[in-house]
Amino acid sequence: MQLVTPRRGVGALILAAGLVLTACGTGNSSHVVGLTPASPNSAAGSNSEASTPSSASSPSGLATPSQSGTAAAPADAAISASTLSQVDAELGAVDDSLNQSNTDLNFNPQGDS
Amino acid sequence: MPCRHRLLGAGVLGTVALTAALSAAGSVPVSADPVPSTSSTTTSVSTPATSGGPASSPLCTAAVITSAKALVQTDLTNRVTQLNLLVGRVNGAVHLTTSDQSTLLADLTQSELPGIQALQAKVSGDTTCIELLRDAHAMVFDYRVYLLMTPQADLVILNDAITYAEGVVAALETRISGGIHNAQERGQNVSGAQSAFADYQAQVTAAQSLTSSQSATLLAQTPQEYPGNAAVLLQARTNLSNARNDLHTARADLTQIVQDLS
Repeated sequence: MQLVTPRRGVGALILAAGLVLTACGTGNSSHVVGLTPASPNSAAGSNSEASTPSSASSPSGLATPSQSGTAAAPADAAISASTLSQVDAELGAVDDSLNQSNTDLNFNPQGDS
Repeated sequence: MPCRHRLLGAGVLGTVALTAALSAAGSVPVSADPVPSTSSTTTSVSTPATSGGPASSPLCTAAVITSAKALVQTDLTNRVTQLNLLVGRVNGAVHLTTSDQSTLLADLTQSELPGIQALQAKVSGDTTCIELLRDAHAMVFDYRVYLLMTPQADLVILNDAITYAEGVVAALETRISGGIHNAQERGQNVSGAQSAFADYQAQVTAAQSLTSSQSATLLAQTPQEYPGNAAVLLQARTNLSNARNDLHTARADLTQIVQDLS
């Protein structure tokens, strides 16, 4: 439990609220967290996963757009230039292979053999 | 694994078959009549034809058997070279499945190459036209190096390359869907991207249906079945060509999607 003196006023308020609830016999740590503004520096961070909305990733593994107003990732970040290059490389290999098969079937230097 | 190459029986070969074999080999003159076991008639060495290969002369005699043997040996050597080329392609095909690679290598190195190399030794010891004719016939009809083994190997390599590419393209579907969803969440108009994505998925599915079980079909073809199975090779080429086109169309859809989401 954090016993360091809060640096900010809000921290002091949180601590005070926690103390009041504890004194009334109805408080516990989760209530304290519930009253605490979401903050990565919260003293009760170990029980505060539910307060971090961005923790769930999308199925694609892409960063989900921020819900706090920060800049979103570019829309085309799902398909990067390197991804397109990989697709092009594979299709190029397919084309080369198809050309070889066409050569086999269209040109036979040995006649009917 | 059962032997895929049955050897010809020791019975007398038909004149037509012999003519076809040696014409195909592009080398040994052969008689239009049944070839006697002892050659004694007059003949001439074949001369180059305007079509690019040596002309077939309908005679085979003791007088030219040395030259004829040399021509057959050249054709055998060329087949060994071709088979080794195919082995190299199979070993170098990065997307060839282990199973397909194993089957192709078994055919090439355990049936075809040993068979052709055995014929090389046999032709060296041939002393009569009928022996040479039988060996030349076997070289062509039992192994079909150029007309079956070559396209078979290359089409299987192609099929597996397309199958791999299909996997790469299909794996992007989730990411594309996520990208469209995210853009939609931001209030972006994604109707064009959605339409392109629908076509993208349809193209991938179509390509996958064309390549499904194609390798197994190709690998089941044997030299003895040729030319009856030539249509199988051509159909496979058509299917794989269409699958290739489907993937290129999907690639165009991908370009459209990226543009619409940017």
